[in-house]
Formats: sequence, C-alpha cells, structure tokens
Amino acid sequence: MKVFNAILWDSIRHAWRLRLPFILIFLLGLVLLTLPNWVMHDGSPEGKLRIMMTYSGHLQIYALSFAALFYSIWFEKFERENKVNLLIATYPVSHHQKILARLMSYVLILWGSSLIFQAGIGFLTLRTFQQFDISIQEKSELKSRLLTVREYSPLQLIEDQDFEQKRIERQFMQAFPLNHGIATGFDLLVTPQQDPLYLRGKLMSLQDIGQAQLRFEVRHENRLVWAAEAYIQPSVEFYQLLPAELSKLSPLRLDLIQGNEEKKPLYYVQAEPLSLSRPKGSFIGNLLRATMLSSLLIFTMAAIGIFLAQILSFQGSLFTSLVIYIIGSFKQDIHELLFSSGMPNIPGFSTEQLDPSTIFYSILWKPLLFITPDFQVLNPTSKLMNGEYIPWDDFIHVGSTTLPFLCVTLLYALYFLPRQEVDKRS
Amino acid sequence: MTRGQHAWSWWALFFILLLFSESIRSFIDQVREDHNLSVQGEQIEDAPPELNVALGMGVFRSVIIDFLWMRASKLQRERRFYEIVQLYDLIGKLQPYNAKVWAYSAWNMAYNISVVFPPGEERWRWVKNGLERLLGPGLRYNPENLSIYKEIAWIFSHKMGGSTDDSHLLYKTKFCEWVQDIAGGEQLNARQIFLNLESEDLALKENAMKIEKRLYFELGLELGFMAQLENHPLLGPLDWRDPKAIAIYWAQRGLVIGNYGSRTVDLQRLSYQAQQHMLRQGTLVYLPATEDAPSSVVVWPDYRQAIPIHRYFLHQLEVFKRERAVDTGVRSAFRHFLVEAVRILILSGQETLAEKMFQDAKKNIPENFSEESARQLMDLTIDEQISTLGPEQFSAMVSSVLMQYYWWLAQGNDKRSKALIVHATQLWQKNIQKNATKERRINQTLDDLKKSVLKDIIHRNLFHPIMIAKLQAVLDIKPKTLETN
Repeated sequence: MKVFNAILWDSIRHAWRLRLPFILIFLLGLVLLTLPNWVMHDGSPEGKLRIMMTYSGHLQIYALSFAALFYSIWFEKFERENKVNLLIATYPVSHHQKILARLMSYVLILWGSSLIFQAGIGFLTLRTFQQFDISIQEKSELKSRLLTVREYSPLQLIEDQDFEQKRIERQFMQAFPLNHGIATGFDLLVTPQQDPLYLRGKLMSLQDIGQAQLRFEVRHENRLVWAAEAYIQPSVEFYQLLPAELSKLSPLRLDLIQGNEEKKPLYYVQAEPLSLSRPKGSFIGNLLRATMLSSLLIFTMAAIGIFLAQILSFQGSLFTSLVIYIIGSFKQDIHELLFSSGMPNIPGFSTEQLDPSTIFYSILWKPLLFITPDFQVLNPTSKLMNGEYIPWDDFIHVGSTTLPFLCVTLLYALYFLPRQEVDKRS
Repeated sequence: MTRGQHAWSWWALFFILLLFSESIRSFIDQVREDHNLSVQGEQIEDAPPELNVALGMGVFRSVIIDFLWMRASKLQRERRFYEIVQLYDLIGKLQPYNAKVWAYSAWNMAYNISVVFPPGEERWRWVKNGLERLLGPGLRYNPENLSIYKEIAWIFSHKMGGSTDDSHLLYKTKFCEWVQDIAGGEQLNARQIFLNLESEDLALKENAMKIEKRLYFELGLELGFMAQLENHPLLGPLDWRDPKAIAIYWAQRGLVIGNYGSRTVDLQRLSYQAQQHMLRQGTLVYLPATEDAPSSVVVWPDYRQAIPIHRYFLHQLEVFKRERAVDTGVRSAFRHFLVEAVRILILSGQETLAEKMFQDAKKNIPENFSEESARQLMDLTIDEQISTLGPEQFSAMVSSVLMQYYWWLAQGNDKRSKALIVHATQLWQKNIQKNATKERRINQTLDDLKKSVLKDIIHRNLFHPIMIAKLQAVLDIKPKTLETN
C-alpha cells in the first residue's frame, strides 16, 4: 500500500507540474462565464437552471474524459519515447502497481479540478435565483424540485401518506395520428385509496371530423384488466369512471388503441406508460452513484489511453481513442441516424437511411456497436440534473459493456506489455 | 510495387473521386437551392455566427442538424422541454433561410409542447416561446417568406384568439396585459400615437417613441403600419389587445412584404377569418385582479366588425359582376354572414344599422333574401333553431341571454341590455306558445327565471367579483336579499 500511495502522489505531483489542473480549471471557468450568455431556456428559472447545469455537467464530463485520455497517453508516450521513468522510486515497483496507481491519480486530479467547477455552478445557481423575481418560499420549492430524485415507473397508486396532494392528477398527452391527423389528450385522474379512478380525456381535432373511435385498455402487470370502446366527439370532454376494484391494483398502465371502421385495431398507439412521480432515495445517494459512474468513465478513458499509447504513436492513440469515445458516447444516435426510418415531416432532416441488411451493417457496424463501451451510461449528467433516480442496474449494464473492455486493455497493459518490453531489451 | 507506383495509384484514385464528386455537384446544388439550404452573397453578412462556424464544417453541417433534431425529438418524447428552445434555436440558425424550420419549431412549441402542461402560466410561456422564434430570427432571416407571416397569424388567430385551447382566456388576458403595459395601462390607439410622434409636446412625443420602440422590439409591430390598418376601409376597428387584431396585422403585413413561400390567398383568408371571428368575439373587456380573483378578460361580439365585412361583400359582388364571373358562392357566403351579423347587431341594440345593411344586401341580391326586414330574418333563423329544442334546453338558452343582459346592465350599456331583455322576453313567449298544447306546460315565469339566473351569478360567482359588485350596485341589491327571496 505504501508503494501504491507513493506512486499515486508522485503522479499527482507530475500532473501538477504539467499544469493540467490549471488548464482544466481555466477551460471550465471559461465555459461557466460564457454559458449563461449563450444558452437559451424556456423562460422559467427552473428551465434556466436545468439547462445550465445539464450543459455545464456535460461539458465537464467531456473535458474530464478528454483530459484523462490526453494525460495518460502523454505520460506513457513521454516515458517510452524518452526511455525515462518519471517515477522516482527508491524501491522496486511492479508494472501493475505503477499503472493502477496512475489510473487512481487521474481520477483524483480530475475530480479535484471538477470540484472547483462545481463551486462555480453553485455560484451561477445563486445568480439565477437572484435574476428571477421569486419569493423565498418559491426558491425553496424550486430547490426541492430540482433536487428530488424521481423514479419514473408505470402508474402506481399512491400509498405513500407523505404525499402532500390528496388528489394526484397526472396528465397524459399523447399526440398520435388518427385518420385525419388528430392530437388527443387524456388525463387519468387517480385518487388514492377509496376514491374512484377516472379517465378523463379530450380529443383535440385539427381537422373537421365527426367523431373518433378509441379503445381504452387498462393493464396490470401486462394483463388486461379492463377495456372499453368509445366514440369521442372532438373538443368535448370525455369522462369514464373505472371500476373501483382497479384502484387496489398497482401498477396500472393505460393503452389507447385506435379502432377503424371494422372495429379492428388499426395500429397500436405507442402510449407512454402513465407515471407518477414518487420520492425515491436521496439526492446525495444519487450524486454518489453519479460520481462513481463518472469516475469509472475517467478510469476507462485512462485505461484506453495507456493501452493505445503502448502500440500507437501519440497522435494515433489520441485519434483512435477519440473515435472510440465518440462512437461509445453517441452510438445509439449514430445508429438511429444511419438505420432508423427517419423523421418524416421534420424540415431539413434527411430521411434517407441505410439498409440494415447490408454488409456494412453486419460486418462493420454491428460488431463496432458491440465492442465499444457504452459511455452514455457512464455519463450520468442528464439523469442527475433531471432529478431522476440513477439505479444500481446501470452499474450492471456498465459491467456487461464497459468492464470487459477495461479489463482486456488493463490486462494487456499489465502482463503482456512488460514482457514485450523485456523481450525488446533482451 | 515500388514507392513511386504506389503514389501514382493514390493520385489516380484521387482524380477519379474528384471527377465523380464534380458530376453530382450540380444535382446537390439544385436540391440545396430548392430547400433554401445554401447560403450565398449578402446572406453571409447577416448570417448568425453559428452558421459561419457550421459552414466551415462543410457537409457535416447536415449531420449536426440531424443530431440536433434527434435530440430535440428525444427530449420531447421524454418531456424534458427546458432544452428544446436552445436546440430549436441552434437548428434554425444552422439553416436560417429555411423558413419551414422556424415555422415547424414555433408550431411545435405553441401547439404540442404547451398542451402537455396543465392549463396555466406554463402553457402561455410555451406559446410565447413559439411566437418568439417566428417574430425574432424567423422574420429576420426570412422577411419576405409568406409562410412565416402565415404561421404567426395562425398562432395569434387560432391558438390565442380562438377557443380550442383550455387556456385560451389566459392567453388573451396575458396578451391584453402585455399590450396595455406597452400603451401605459390603456387601450392602444395606434393612429393617435403615430400622430403624437410629430407632436410639439415633448412629453407626448417621448411617450409615443417609447411605445413605438417597445411595440417593435417586443412584438415586432410597426406603429405606422398599425395606424394604416386602423384607417383601412375594409377592416373594422382594431383593438390591439385582441390577438385576432394582431393576426390581421401579420396577415396584411405578409401581403404587403412577402412574395414567396406560400399562397397570398391563405393570408387573405386568415385576415378575413380573424375579422369574422372578431364579429363574434371582438369586444374584449379586461377585468383586473382582485383579492378574490385573478385578472381576466371576457369576450363579447363586436357588432362594429359587421360594417367592413358587409362593405367587403358588396365590393366582392361588384368585382364578380364586372368580371362576369359566377358569384353563387359569394352570394351564399353573404347571406350566411348577414344572418349572423343581423342577430348580433339587433342584440347589440343596433336595429337601425341592421335594417340598413339588410336592405343594402337585398337590393344587390334580392333573390337570396325573401324576408322583408332584418327583424324577420332574425326571427326566422331563431324559429328554425328553437324548433328542435326541448323545454329544458329552451330555458338554458333564455338563461344564457339573461346572463348577457345582466352583464351589460352591470357594464352600464343600456342599449345592449335593453335589446337583450326584449329578446329574452320574445324567446320566452315563443317557449310558452310552443309548449301550450303539450302535457308539460311551462309554469315558471320569466321573472322566476331572471331571479334564478341572478342568484346563480352572485352566489356561484359566474361573473368576476368586479362585475358582481357593479351588478349589485346597479340593481341595488345584496346577496342576502336574494337568499330570502
């Protein structure tokens, strides 16, 4: 452990000499100063705060990842090309001790820099509160709303007595095309315990139609528990009292199905499961999980950097690792862009997509998707800033996608490369 | 293969690819031009800085735009709306001369995102966000594109001026307060303020300049053009606090400035529809907030709008006659309009004007009007309407007329209230006559119904507290008196 600590502090000292934390802090500070003037928000204090926190959080993660890459590659290349060991050791150290301690030092240095950045965000938050004319009570409400960790789950009847509202109204708006382009909106009024369950809705007609036929299905754990068909007049409020026994079931899900003239479902409406927000966990717990995930990201980036630096040039390692990082961070988006059916009616959006049955897809893209680490999961900014619960499942997901990558690269660096070096020397 | 031969094969490949890219360049340029995606000449100077950066990225601009669209639609699906404004702004600025992008993003915010929120302030914020996209960068980069004017006019006329949205009264109230704030707490008279710009009274001049500036920078409205529209013979009196009047402004502005992107007839229709809508709901009464109730607006028919619409129809008939075109459609539309206008005019206490308009129309197209007078036209249409009503529905109809009567009584408009009570009495007579031979006779008198409506207004707060107080003062009654009755 003493050896490990010695290497750790030695690496931190080297990073300090490289002015790495200063550069990072300078860059992040620049972002903090320019961000409030650049971002556009929805006009609410909550919106402004959220967008600033999200953008600065993302920038922070990207900056940390890039710094981890750059730092690890530079360190390795410097030592190898100059045939020096920056580590001043008076005691024999093993290769894996050196690598692991350095990885740990990257995490510490980068998190040290980002703490200063977080302090900057706190300052901006205070300034935002001051800019908007909101009362102290509103401020505390806003703060609690921002920090509440929520889990989005299928509709759950509220059993939690701590809920302030007696009557919970969750709006369910689902815009979907019926025969002539109609948007509909339905609310499910849920009242806790004994009160009945209502389905309330209004069909908003964009064109003149007489009425629309809809089928409602309520499911409990994917089992159909109630269904009804109704003809609904546009712009007329629709009420339906659901059977009382349903209020004892939890969770419930509402599906809307459009019926056509032959009374057969024309297509299934992709109805988002109704959700009610209920407090789950604490903000601190969530923050801890987010910190663990992003530390893992820095750790992985540094491992990739060390691995690539052993086999490629400085520029080659940097370029390759950036490509891996971009694909890993945006692979779902790139996949959607290349192979999804596109977004019709959106002006300026290209709708021509590649055929998923091509060789490009099966030989190149699919394996690439499989082997690249899922950096999206390792970036918890959106979830943290939206007050969403970060589940432990995310770590399992990381385990299945990223850790093999991390382990292979580390094992390669730890065992294969030292031998290679010895072989070359001999 | 030697090193030299290797280099030559790379050069050959380079030239083949260059030739290939050149052969498809004209096709790509044509597509870019068709969709206003290319940026040329003067446009570069005025382009947003984001575009200048993106232009340096070449073809990657479209990839970035696609990514941004995907993110925006993903966020919308997940209901994380706070970032949408930023994303739409970036998407728009990366292709600023594609007006459809601005129109789509504004429509999406005003129509789809706003209704996700429960009725209230948040909805208004999203309608405003949508409008700001169009009035700001949308118009700036596409000043001659008719589709931008059409979209602005549509949001003002349908979303804010119409009644399809549950929060339409909130939009009207917020917009009314906004314009009143600009005008210094009162109704905005554009013509007068425009004249004040030349006034020798420095205080008046300064105030007029301040209003002109705010109108332009906050709502994109030009005072001079507003003053022109107020004097337009085919447009009625325009209350600028009413979103429908602003819709007329933007439709007319588009007709003057715009020259591509949409059909001019669409804007003409939007202007006419807004005018007709103002006939039905163009009198806007603003009620400030009290301790018991928030501020709100109440809309009533504006009979004054009938005059320019009537004039417009007469003008159209002349045009059709001169061009010897088939005018059946115009005649039929004229009759439909007059049926509604006559009713509104008579119920507003303007029977003489209704009669004059009816006779003018009858003189021009006698075959479409078999009735002798405006009153007869109204009676016939009402008889038609009530023939299918049951006694309860009939009472509800008379109650609604009585409610309007009490409103105008409280407002101190004797002409209107008198016309409405006469109408209610006539309707009641018809009700009694209609049900006289039936088993279920009407035992209730009109006075009973009046008392019941009044009681509802006061005890169930059907009117704003200010109007209830006014009504109590006019009738010299107290709620307790009603209870005992």
